[in-house]
This record gives sequence, structure tokens and C-alpha cells, in this order.
Amino acid sequence: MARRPAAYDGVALVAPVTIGYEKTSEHGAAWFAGAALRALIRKAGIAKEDVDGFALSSFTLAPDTAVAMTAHLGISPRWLEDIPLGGASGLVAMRRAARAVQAGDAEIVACIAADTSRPGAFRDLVANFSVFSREAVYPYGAGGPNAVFAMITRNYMEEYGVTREDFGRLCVAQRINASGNPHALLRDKPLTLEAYLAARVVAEPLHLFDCVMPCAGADGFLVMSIERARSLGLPYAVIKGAVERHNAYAEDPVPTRGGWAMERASLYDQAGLGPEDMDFVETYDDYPVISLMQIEDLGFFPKGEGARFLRETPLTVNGGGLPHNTSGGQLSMGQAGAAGGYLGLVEAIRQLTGQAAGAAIENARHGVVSGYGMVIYDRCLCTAAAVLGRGEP
Amino acid sequence: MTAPLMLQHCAECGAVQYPRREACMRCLSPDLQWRETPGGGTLLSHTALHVSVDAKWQDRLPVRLALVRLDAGPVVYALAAEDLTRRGMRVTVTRGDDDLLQAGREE
Repeated sequence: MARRPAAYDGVALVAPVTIGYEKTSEHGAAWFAGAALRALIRKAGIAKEDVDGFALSSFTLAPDTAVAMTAHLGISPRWLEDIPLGGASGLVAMRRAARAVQAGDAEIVACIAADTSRPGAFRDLVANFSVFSREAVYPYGAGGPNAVFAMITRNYMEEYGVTREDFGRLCVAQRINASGNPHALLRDKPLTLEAYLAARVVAEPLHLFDCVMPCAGADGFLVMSIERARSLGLPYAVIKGAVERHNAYAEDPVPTRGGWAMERASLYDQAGLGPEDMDFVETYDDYPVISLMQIEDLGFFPKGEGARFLRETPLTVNGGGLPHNTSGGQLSMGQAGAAGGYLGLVEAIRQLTGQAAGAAIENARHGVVSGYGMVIYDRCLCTAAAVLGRGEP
Repeated sequence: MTAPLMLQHCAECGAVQYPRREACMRCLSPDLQWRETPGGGTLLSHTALHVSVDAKWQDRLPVRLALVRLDAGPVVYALAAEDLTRRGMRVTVTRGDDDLLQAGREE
């Protein structure tokens, strides 16, 4: 293992906010970014001028980027990041912002992902998502990630004996978790295993409830010093360990693991904790197979035992098993573009600071969050994970 | 009508790559040559798309697709014959009229 990275000492994660979610919106991404920034400063009780660092992720802001938002929203940060890493955006923003606060490059960093959703816009996005997919995937009718993840899902199911019923258990548990969450688009649509199994096919073996619903929305949080959080009277979470890895295991012909496996030892070594110490896990659930792979790679069950894990482990918030995607995840909240890469992290901060929007885990002390982003050809390339802990008041 | 596969070969290290790149993914050489490449390979996975965002495909659903590991190295998506249903089976990939790759059972 490489040298252990410096600890994230003294850094606080505060003010988890969510704007939306809405199935479609006439507003642009900038509207959602502005609403998120406004919510962040109100929640923290700070002035807009106090925000001297700004990290933004969006798929639907073009031709603008983060820098245009400084003019649009009237801020003058001395630290700026545009993070186009999709489902890994939140964790990557958190890592970089934490280092900026430690180094004194910024005192308060607003981390935001914001995207809108308009009819037809999804087609335009997926048609030009990457050069490789434009040339070698989209021309086959396979616009968007469904075909890519259908291939990954079938391979994983046949390799490890995981069934649709097993994935259905994960999806049904997430819908139960969503039921009390006012932000979840599908909170009022209970899902039974029977309905999951009977849903129409999208890309075999994927069916309707294996796929996320594109929507509009934003998520965000603030990164500042623990001293500042305490002086503002804000409950906060801390970073016990954090990792990212891109283009991991490129030699695997079909991925059955991701960069989480490559970085797991470093993550838990930094944290001084193991999977057994986690009170919950938030994974990036663009498809259930990817959540299962993250839970596996993060060490919650041995490689290949996913079917047994899903049959034995309740994944609901108060089910006595492993609370997973406790807000309902993207499969129940919707996928608001890059905000899908923030949702799990924002939910983890909520759970660790006593601010759960929906079902709360009793006495949550530690949780692990993972991200997965950017289908460039036949898999997502960005992976990230963090162990977070509850901050001492 | 089908045509043989043409793929990028690195003139320095011999790596074969797809999709096309501007540098060799192994040795970073810019000296890449298009060469006729054997289409033999192994079926890694397969699907049938019942939904497509591309209007061009909407009246041709379901679209059967194969994911193939070519013996030459790269992994490709290809339109699939109906009998490609078993992971690990031998397949042959060719280039069709529309320049799309297509996969059939190896003869």
C-alpha cells in the first residue's frame, strides 16, 4: 500500500441541503444551483460573502461552467472547482474542499451539484456523453447507460448466481426507506417484490424498477473547519477516511468489481475502522448490481456471496440488518444529473447530524459512502468512497 | 454484405485497440495503423434493448446486442444474431453495410 494520506483532521461537513426533486423543470441548472446556495447560507447562518470556495458539478449548465456561476450568483471565491465526474462528484468535491480548508486556501467551501431536466434533453446528453460512446455504443441504439449496465448485470448474475428476486429485495428496501423522505419523487409509490418482477423489460435483464428516473434537482453541503462549525452552532460530520480511483481494473473484460476494492484497505486503514463498525452504507445506485458491487467491494460480504447477502440482510433503516441508501437512493428519489453523485453523501451527513429528512438511524456514529461516475465506454470510470463519523459538539 | 474488421494496431508495441484512440493505450505511441483484424472472439454478455432514445432504432426494437472479447484483445459492442445466448460461446465479429459491427456464431 502507498503511504497513508494525511488525515482529514479539523474538517467539518455541515448543512446538507436538497432542492427538488422534480420530474421535469422549465428552470435551468443555474436556478437549481442558486437555490442550493441560498439554502446552504441560510441553513448555516452565514452571509453569501463568507463563501470563499465553490465547487460545482452539472451536466446541463453548458455552455457555462462553475466560473460562470460566480458571476451568475454574485460570489467571489478564492478557490474554485468544476468537477465533471458524475456519480463520484460529491465525494471528490468533499476531498478537495477538505484539503483546501486544511491548507487555508478557503474557509468555507460550498459544494453543489445541480441539474435540470427537460423533455428531449436526456437524449442529447447521452448521444454525446463521450467520444467512445458516441462512436461505439450510441450507434447501436444503445443511447444512455441501460445497455452497458444490462451487460454488466447479466454477467454478474450468471457469474455469481444472483437472481432478479435478489435485486428486487434491494429495490423494495430502498422504496421503504424513501417513504418518509419529502424529497423522494417516488415516496408515495410503494413497491412490492411482485410489482418489481412484473415490470416491463427495458434492456434484458434490466426492467423498469432497476432503472433510475432522470429528474431535476440539486444537492449541496458546506465544508469548513470544526472550529467554525462549532462557533456557528452547526452539527457536523467528520471525514475518517476518503479515497478515489479512476479507470480501475481496466483489464477486466466485464467489470465485477470497481476501484472501491482497490482502495478498500487504504480507506479503512485511514479510518481505523472496518465494515463491522459502520451503522449504514450509502452506495451509488444507478442500477442495483452496482450497489451490490459497492457493498461487496467495501467488505460487507465475501466476493461472490451477493445472493446470500441479499437474502439474509435487511437493507431498510430499522430492519436490524445493514441500513442501505437510507433516503431511498436514486432508485426512489430520481437521478438529478450530477446531484445523483451527491445524494448519498448528503444523506450520510444528515444521518450523522440528526437531520434525517425521512427515516433516521438511531444513534448513527459511522457510515460509509461510495460513488461511481461517468460511463465512457463499457463501464463507469470514476470510483470514490469515504468513511464519515459524527462530529463531537 | 459484410467486410473484415479494421482495427487500430500500435506500430511500436503491437497493442490492438478499440474504440479508436489518438495514442496507444499501452505505450502511448502516436504511430497507430489500421489493419485487417481477425473477428474471432468470445461472448461476454448480451442484451435485448426494448427501449431506445434514438428515433432511428425505435421501429426496430427489440435490438439484440452482444458484448464480445475479440481474440485480438479489445471488447466491442455488436449487433447480435438471435442465437447468441450463452456466455463464453465462440462468435465472429464482422463489419456490416452500415459500418456497424455485427456478431454471429462462429462457423
